[in-house]
Amino acid sequence: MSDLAYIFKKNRYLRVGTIMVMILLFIALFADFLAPFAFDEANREARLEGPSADHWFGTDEFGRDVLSRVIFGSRIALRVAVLGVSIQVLIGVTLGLISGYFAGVTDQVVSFLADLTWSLPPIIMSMAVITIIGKGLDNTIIAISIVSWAQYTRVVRAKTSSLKNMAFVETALAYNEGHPSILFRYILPNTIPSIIVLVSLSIPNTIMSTTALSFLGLGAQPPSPDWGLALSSSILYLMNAPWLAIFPGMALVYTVFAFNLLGEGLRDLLDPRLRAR
Amino acid sequence: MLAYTIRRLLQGILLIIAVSILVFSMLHLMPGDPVELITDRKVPPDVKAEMKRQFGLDLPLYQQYLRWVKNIFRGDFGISIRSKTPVASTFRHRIPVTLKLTGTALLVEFLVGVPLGLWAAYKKDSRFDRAVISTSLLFAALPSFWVAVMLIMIFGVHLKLLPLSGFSSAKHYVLPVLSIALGGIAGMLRMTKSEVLDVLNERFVFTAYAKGLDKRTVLVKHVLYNSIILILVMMFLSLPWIISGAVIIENIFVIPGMGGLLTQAIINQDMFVVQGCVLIISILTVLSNILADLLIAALDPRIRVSMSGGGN
Repeated sequence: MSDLAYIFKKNRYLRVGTIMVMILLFIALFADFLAPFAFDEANREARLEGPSADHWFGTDEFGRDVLSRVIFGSRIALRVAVLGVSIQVLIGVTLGLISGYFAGVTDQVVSFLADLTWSLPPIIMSMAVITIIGKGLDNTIIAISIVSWAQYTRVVRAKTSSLKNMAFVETALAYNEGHPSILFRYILPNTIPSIIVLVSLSIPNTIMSTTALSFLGLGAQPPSPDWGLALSSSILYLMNAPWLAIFPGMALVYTVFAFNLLGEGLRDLLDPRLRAR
Repeated sequence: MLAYTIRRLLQGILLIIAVSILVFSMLHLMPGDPVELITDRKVPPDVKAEMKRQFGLDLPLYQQYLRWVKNIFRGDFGISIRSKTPVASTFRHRIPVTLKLTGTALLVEFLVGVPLGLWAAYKKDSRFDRAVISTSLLFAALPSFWVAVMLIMIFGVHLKLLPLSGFSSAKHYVLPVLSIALGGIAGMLRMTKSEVLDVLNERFVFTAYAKGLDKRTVLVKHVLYNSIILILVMMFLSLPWIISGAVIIENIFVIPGMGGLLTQAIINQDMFVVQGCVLIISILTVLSNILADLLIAALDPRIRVSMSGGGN
């Protein structure tokens, strides 16, 4: 326990990042209790009202409480983080393990695919995928994630190809362990620290890209309290109701900043060499 | 250099072929009959059958692909279902706009980010360094589209200093370029700083000081020159992100480039436009990556050797 306290004391990024993410988790978890109104509760009497005691963040063009919508929006951000990163990890880590372990043609094909997704603009690629599978929040998460797994593959591949020559893997091979068992019981556990760091670093990117697509009208659809969607409808009211743009944007910035700090902190803690990418 | 150039070009061509196959298959991966996707619902069935023959949609897939590629080489990207005009003629006006926007943004990132990073490294741990680095951490967390909305609010709506949409004069560039470049400047700055700090510890820097050169000469001629290659590499590696940013920003400022076109086409399910946009943006990205790699290899012999020598 004192070790943990020491780590948090020394690593400022980790300390601040963890606290900020915890606050976010708390808000998302208890949104029902924290939000003064339902996110879709419209009040025709109170349209486009500025911040007040009743509506801390003001109301939108339908008279919905902006604070409540921002609070419920945190659930969407976390859904994006969890679902998106799971897909990226599933694809990226699997391919990285396989290509690092088996080398040869498999490795070349996987590396080519990773290069392909890495060198093309992610938003363009995911827009192409959305064209095929259709609009919507979950489709957008899928579209972003199936074009952004390359960094997992690269890191896991490099780790795997150096791990597979180590004595403990050769011993396991000598004991007739099968390849799947070696990959999952001997190699995978040793790549976990790097994967954790990559996860925390890719969460902000995934949230940012998905929100951008929602902003363009391709992701979450009304009346979802998605922050990107809120920002895109705020443009029409910039003159009279700037709070519509300010608060959802600040929530997004807070979330991205929180995960960025957590990621930087975890990298310093778990895998400092990942910095020299 | 020649061997490296050929190798890099071949890689690029392979990437472009892969992209073209992906883009081609979009039409066939979508649920439903391709003919339904590229025509109006009102078109009678016999006309549809005729169109199917005309577009070669009854041929085997690889023949369709070859036919499609051949058409593209002739500058024929098909016809927009929405505007009923050839997609290629729309592209002719739109591509230069996007190139100008991304080019300017890239230039601004370089011209602002590199000097600031250099100065932060030189004044390491000073108040300036700390202020610049923490500001850049915050800026990196600002989504470009929110920055754009905020800039519109401040400079367009309240101060009425700058135009809010369009792309016809130099003034129109300011807000969009700023929105795209702000996050990039932050990244460029931090990267320049860490790269310059590395070079500052090299022995040739001590030698330069020992020769009696003044600080500014050492900093610019020796340190910056030696860090610039890696900075260039990172700059071009960030190109996909800059283009992604431009696509979003074009939509906000109603800039008549490829990004706005692509977004509208996806919403309208205008297949040939989507295919053309994705293909062209991808090819432009791959080409500029190759160009950057060649430029870097020409500047730095070490990279040339390490990349054309054995395997990866």
